[in-house]
Amino acid sequence: MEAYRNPIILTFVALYMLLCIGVGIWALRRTKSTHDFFMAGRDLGVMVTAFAVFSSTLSGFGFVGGPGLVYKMGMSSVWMIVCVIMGYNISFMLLAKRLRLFAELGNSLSLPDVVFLRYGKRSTSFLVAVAIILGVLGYLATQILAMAIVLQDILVETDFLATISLEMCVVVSCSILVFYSVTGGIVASVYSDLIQGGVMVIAATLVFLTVVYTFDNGFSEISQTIQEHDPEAIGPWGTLGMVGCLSWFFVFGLGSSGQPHVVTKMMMYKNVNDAKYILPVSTIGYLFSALLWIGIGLAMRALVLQGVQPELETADAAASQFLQNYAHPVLAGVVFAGLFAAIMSTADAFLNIGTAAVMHDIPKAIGKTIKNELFWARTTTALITIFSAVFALYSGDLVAILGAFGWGTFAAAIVPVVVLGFNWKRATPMAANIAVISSLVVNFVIKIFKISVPYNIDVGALALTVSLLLFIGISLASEQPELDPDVEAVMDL
Amino acid sequence: MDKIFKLFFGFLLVFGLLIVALWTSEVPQNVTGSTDTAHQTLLHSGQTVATTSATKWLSYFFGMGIIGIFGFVIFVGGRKKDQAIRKKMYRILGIGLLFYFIVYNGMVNSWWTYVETNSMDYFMGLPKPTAWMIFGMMFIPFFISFFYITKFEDWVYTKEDEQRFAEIMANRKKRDK
Repeated sequence: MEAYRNPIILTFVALYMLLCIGVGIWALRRTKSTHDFFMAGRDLGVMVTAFAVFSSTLSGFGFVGGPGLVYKMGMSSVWMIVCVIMGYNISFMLLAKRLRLFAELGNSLSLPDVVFLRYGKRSTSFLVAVAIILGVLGYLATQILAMAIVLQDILVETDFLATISLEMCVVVSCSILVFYSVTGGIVASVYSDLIQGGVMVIAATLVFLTVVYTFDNGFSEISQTIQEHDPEAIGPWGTLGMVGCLSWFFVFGLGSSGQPHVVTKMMMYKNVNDAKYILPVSTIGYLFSALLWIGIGLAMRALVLQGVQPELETADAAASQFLQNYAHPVLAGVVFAGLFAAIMSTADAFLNIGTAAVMHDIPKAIGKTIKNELFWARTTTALITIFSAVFALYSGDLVAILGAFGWGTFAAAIVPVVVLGFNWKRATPMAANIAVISSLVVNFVIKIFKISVPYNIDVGALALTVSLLLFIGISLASEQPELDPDVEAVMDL
Repeated sequence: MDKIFKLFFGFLLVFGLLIVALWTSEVPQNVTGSTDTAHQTLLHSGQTVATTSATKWLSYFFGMGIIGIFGFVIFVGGRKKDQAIRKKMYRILGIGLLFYFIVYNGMVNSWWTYVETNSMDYFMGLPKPTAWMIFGMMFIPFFISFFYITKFEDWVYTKEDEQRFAEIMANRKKRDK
């Protein structure tokens, strides 16, 4: 079976892609209006919403970058997972009910739509839409690039496509993504998320078991090997240290409720009461999927230290090397399909909110209306993918800057405005606008001017602290704004 | 409601000052790690923040501050107009938060001991402070999830809320016609 490892992996990836195309064709018949295209008709059930929430949160980073970070730094990046239950608690306690009710009240199609409903100012929804577009460009481009690199890694091992270029891999992977995103919009996206989430949970659990059985004494042997070399690496803070880890705990914990591609799903479920089931299913799904992140990273660090595995060329190769050398070929096939699933589920979620921002939110904010919205939604989806693909291939450092700061920018821009503002009547549009602007300024100034932050405190954590302070401070110093009576009544529920 | 936000604002100011104090304090050597001498793709830890008492306590309070911020945000989410429900929710959230602080303190204390003694005590295959992190810090918030799930109809979205929302929607549709 070992001789057929690559054909097996390729078969699983091809089957998965065919499945995505099938979902796209099926969803085409269910997408008859922009409301279906962006909001899935606000008709989603518990499992679909729950899987869509967690699989959009865990992008390709969880399957490639995550294990690489654990391999390189020990336990440090595990703090991005430790905060997950608290993060989902915050999202559900503050947003799940409120967003769903606002979406119905305003018949909204996007997050900026509900922001306008709450604050009553076009400038606020415009700024939120701009923050979304900036984040989407970077995130989507990095997801497309990751997808193409993984596809190229698989194809170059075959006899017939050994010389395939990265550009061709971008074209192939984007074609699949565009096909099901254009035909079925968010319906295709969330139903493929259901399949993608399932693949991710199964793959991660099996990989974790493989990790444990790779060592004679299981996890204790991994811990001991790492501890003998560097006790701090297997301590709670890894090699990054306490302050840097805690800043991740902060920005990933509180910031998860500010990720527009995730929280938008909370506007789409059918019954408000379903939120109580969606929370545990999302949390458990995420935690199972994250087993791969921790398991592979620690196992590869221990294997390299024991001398069993030659040192890796780059930390990001940890997952692929483990799968190539220690996992059963069928399991490797499932995990590679899971990796595509993780990347595509995040990419399609970004495509959806990016399209809404470009063809619905920004025109609306500047007083323009677009006729035949469904046609233009589909066209915009294809154009954004093409633009992001070109951006990914040819923009150099800019894609890395936008990609790396996507999470922190979203967290700092959206947590105060949406998470707090939707639960506090005193919050003003002026405070919301300044919070969004400050999040962009702090994030980009620190990165562009290469300002060194001690202890590697995450820039997003700094931006989030600043935007929270400005948002609350300005709101407290201002007069209470007048709200739409219906909005005020919903905020009392 | 404004009272919580006034307290939150004050808390955030103190948290901001804490970050400034960390920024201006003397940073221990290689505190964020450096390239391992034998393995170029691995980082090796440097001095920890526990090296000096100033950075040790500033880092400790940085963590306490983050849990405090989570607490304020969760309390904002637990607000209900009905005072009786609000009191019950705040009590549960308060207990959950107290557990979180206790576990955080347990983890940090265990880590301080680990740094001083290089202890090889394990729990479920992990050094003790790491076990506090995984089995404590990660899972304690399930306490809050549990009440969200089991008390949803009593506290989060009651039958009265459902009726009230139906009325709001009905009135809005009438007005829009």
